[in-house]
Amino acid sequence: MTAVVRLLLPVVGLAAAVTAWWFLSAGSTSFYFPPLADIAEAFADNWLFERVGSDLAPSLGRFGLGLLGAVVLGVVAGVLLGRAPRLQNAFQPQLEFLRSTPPVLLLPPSLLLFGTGSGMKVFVIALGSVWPILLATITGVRASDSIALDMGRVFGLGRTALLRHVVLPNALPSVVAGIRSALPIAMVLMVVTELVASTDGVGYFILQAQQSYDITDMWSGVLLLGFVGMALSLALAWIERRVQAVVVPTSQGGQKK
Amino acid sequence: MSADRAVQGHAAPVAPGGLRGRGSSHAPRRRRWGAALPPLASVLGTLVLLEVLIQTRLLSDSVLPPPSDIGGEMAASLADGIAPRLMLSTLQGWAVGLGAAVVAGAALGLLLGSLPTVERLMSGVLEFVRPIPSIALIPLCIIVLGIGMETKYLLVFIGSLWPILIHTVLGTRSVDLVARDTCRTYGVPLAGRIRHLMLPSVAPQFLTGLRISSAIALIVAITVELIVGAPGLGKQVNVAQQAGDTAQMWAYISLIGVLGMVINAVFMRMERRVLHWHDSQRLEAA
Repeated sequence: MTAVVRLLLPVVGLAAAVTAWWFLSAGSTSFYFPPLADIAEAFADNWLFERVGSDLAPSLGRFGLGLLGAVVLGVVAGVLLGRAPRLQNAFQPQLEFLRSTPPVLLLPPSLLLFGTGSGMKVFVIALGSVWPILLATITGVRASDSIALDMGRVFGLGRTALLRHVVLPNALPSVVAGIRSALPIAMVLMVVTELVASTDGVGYFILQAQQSYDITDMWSGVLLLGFVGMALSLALAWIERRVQAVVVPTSQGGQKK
Repeated sequence: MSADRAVQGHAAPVAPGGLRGRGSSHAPRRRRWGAALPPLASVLGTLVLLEVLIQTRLLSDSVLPPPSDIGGEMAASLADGIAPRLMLSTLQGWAVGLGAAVVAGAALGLLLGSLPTVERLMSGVLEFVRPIPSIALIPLCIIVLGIGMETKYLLVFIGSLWPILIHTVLGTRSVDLVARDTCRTYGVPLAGRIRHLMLPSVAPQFLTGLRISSAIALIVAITVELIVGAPGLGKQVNVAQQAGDTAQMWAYISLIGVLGMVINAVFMRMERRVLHWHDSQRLEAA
């Protein structure tokens, strides 16, 4: 397979799938599975760009804030626990329990605690998607090369300098991988919080469309989530490549002969 | 060799403890009990601290009641048979959806993994469909399938399909090409090729995918119960919250958390058992 073919194949496949869907559904009279042409029309009506400000922006805003909160919380707590193995060992059962509990279960208590506003949604997204980041940070921090650490100490680096120049660069790839696993969770929580209690957002739009039996509108919302999800995952893959290019883990550089 | 380096890097920090343990035959057991003490103390400490803070009203009990109330509620709901029945209902949705995902994901994964051109061709479609949260299909499923078990089955299936599919593709692609050609040259029969060539490459990746999917399946099952009202533990959390019975709400949340931990532990264990010969497991054991 030449490089050009490798690059073109997925595009061809996607185009073929869309074409097939377009023509197979063209004469569809099914109420639930309308012709793709109608869905495309609804998509253009809603998302180019009438509802971008009123529904997409609030969704992405809460998603971004929540994920940011998860990253900050996860990295800070992860570095703390990663640098203190005894503390981490002591709190392992609680971590295990919180990680195993489906994040949507944050919703009922959060509704009681914060009501139905945007703050509640950001809280649920942040706390629900923090676990993969936290655990990946702990792993990354604990995997710091002991030779590099000793070397840093010998050269008289203080606590913060050690953290800044040895521990954090070493943990960065692991942290980014954690964020990658947190992404779909945050997206699910974004939609779920809007399905339950909301006055705007893509999830709210999909639910409204369903309740008014406007199935083409509903499909347009589902498609939009596909586009958003793909864009986010491509963006993160790009960041991951950048991070890998910039940070050469000292654990590997250090042992090369 | 990267594997060698990994083994060295791993072995170094563990060695001192391992050496100390060899002194007498009783030492390892005592050490294990000693290691269990800090986690145990921290769990008990957390519970007691919460109990005291809430009983003395230093912390409001409007959302979180004292742990003893939650524990009592857990015991009661287990004793009167309601929680076990709901748990079966949740597990049924989990098992049916996950089972279907295993069959479809493994079959499709083997197919795509052994046909690289087809896999490339499909990758664009998969990359688009995969990030759509299965939860986003809840409104559609409600009107097509209703609010019963069928919706739960379908969404659990969709949600847990991807990790199994992707990991099976990776495993199938990782089959050693030289070994494959050797098998072909020596005319190893199909059964032998599956047993000695395919299985050792695919099984580790497949089981990793299965473990991830088993957790996602529970998350989706609980979400469908919570949002749609399909029968199960998740629905009860919502019912309790709307009735203002916070003790019951937390009791059911805790039960689901325990269920999640058990499922995770079971699949981790299975992975370790089946793959005791594989590099990844030997490293973890060291």
